[in-house]
Amino acid sequence: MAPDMQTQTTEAKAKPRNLLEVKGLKKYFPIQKGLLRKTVGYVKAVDDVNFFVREGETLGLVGESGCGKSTAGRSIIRLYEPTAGDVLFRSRHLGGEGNGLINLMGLPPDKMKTIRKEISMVFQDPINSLNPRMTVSDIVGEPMFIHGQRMGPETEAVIVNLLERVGLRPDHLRRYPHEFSGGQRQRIGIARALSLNPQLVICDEPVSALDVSIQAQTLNLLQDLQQDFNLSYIFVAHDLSVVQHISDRVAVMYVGKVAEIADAEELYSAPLHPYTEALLSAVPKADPLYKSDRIVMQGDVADPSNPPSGCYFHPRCRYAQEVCKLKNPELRELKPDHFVACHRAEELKLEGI
Amino acid sequence: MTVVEQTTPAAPAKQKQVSQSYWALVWWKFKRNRIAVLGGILLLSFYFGFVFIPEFLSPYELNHTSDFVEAPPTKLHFIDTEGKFHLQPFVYGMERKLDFKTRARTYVEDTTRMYPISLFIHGDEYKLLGFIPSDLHLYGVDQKANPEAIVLIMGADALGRDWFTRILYGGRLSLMIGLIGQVMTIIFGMTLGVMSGYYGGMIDQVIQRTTEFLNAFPDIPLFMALAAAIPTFWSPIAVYFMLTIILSFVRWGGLARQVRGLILSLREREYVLAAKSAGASDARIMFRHLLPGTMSHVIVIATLAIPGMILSETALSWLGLGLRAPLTSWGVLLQDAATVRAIHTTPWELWTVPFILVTILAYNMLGDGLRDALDPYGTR
Repeated sequence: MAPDMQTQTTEAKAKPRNLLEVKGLKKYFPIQKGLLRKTVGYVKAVDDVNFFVREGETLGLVGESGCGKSTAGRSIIRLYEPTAGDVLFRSRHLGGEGNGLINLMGLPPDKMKTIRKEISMVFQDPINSLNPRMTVSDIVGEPMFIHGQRMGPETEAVIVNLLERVGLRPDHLRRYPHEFSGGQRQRIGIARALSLNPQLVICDEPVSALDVSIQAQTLNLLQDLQQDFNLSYIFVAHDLSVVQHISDRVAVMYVGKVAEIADAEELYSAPLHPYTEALLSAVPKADPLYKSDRIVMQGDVADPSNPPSGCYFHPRCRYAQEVCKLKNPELRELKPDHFVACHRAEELKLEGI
Repeated sequence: MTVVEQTTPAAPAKQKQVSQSYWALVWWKFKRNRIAVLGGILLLSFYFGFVFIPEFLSPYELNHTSDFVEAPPTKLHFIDTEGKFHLQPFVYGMERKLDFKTRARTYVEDTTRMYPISLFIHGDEYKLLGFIPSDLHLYGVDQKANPEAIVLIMGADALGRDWFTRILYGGRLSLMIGLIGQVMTIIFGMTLGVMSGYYGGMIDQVIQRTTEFLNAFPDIPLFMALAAAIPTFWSPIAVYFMLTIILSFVRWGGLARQVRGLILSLREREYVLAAKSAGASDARIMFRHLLPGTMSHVIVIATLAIPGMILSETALSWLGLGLRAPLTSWGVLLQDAATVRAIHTTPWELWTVPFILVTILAYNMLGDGLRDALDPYGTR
């Protein structure tokens, strides 16, 4: 899997450079039982995930609840210490080896702190992601404070500028989070994420908790900011239409593994993985005459602490054959820039939207 | 649509933006609770009166002894023997008589001698707050003109000292031991609780088992053991501080547990992750993000725990394990009144009890009010 990605990088010269490469990322949470907290098993939340993000693009990360999208996002910046794998990042402050990428895994804390200036996060819950005891100015200015900038008129000017950029007013500066609506709070969270002028923003379901009308506003804001600040996004979401709107490329995850990665349009029009097809069939369409032939998947998402044999999706897959039960499919590049992990990807004719 | 646009003011109205911090909301809600405010005012005046200005409030200096050994409270009079009304209250002189059969002392009023009680009178010299020299007392009789006169509104002890004066001075130590002890408990309990909850693992195990160990001990024997360990040659004031430390050392466990529980829920909030993702240190997360969230609970717990602290001091001193005689605390005063003989012959020495009761009631009133107020979004 990993070699595939590297050859891909060298081939695609016309395309922007890779900003981030995730290789074989694993995050297992131990299950402990008993008085002595003996580890009896692992929840394989992220199990050998590979993808890359190019400079200035948005990579959507989709999947059902509990498939490890958020964990993958958080493991990248080591909010959860990954069990294994490499995360390579093109830092502006720290030089990398050879290809200009620096491995974030095993980076000492002081260097990791520098990296944290360049990768920031926007969180899902607009209520929980802002400390209720801090004013907007404290919240937005906190990353700057942590990185050694003292509070003063200059810092405040930066904060005011950020607030205006995300559509809030300077007089919101001294207010507390509870005085804002959900959409406004999310804007505060976005302003905080931008305060250190990052290269990559990991958006962890940033619009899932918002009203549909507010979702659109927030998505448009994120797109505008991407243009202005030359940002790259990893956009974690479970809503395929939201991801379609904002993403250049989309990665579909299932039980801790990547099932398919492709350009957004390609993935939506010509999916190669049966799981992607099933997800797409569930996207509602604004056409009253449209007759849905929705694929209803049997059963629940597999248990990540006890995944099925072979392809994790085979118990729910309507195209499953004997080989799917026995062998775990590798993620391979079937078409240029289109990776899929399915044994039968070549032969199946799947429907998109 | 046009109407709306016309009525929209061109310049934004000069309405003052009122943005309330959490604590401002708490204050608003607290103010509406009369009982809690009463408790708070009582405590503030107790602390101000007993801790800062007992020298001024009392008519005598603490060690002002007199011949009026175990004298009952002197009566205040407004009307003299001739039925004349005096605006200024006065006391009669007292004469001691000894019953030769029972050897009991009795005091009778000598109505021929009248001593008016005045406010802001000059008497024993003292140093206010330890450095302001003064001899002004809130009330009293003129000692220079009538050295034989005495006013004892709550009677006198075995050395002829004014009991009310002793209660005032005793309140200083008793109230302070509760406050200082509780502050130390909060410092111990919060620091250990937040570490226990935030780091988890081994640190958590060690701290929690220590708490259980301390909680499993019966209080009084543990106090006795610890108090016995205080060297007898230590000065009373060193004993006092040692006792404070002992009290808080035994009591931090419960608070640490509650803080730990709160931290366990708070640390999963996304704002903690946000701070971490920005590179915040553990100390910053613990003290800037997690601890402020527990403050409201800690304040309530602490307020409701101070009475326990005061009562512990009282109980220990009463048992003779805490503060000792040259010091005056409410526990020491109760020890004086602890015998059947004392209750029979000098019942006024029980005046200490109402002071302790009111203090503890006031703390509970304040604590209950705070508990309601610290949840300003709740409906009550």
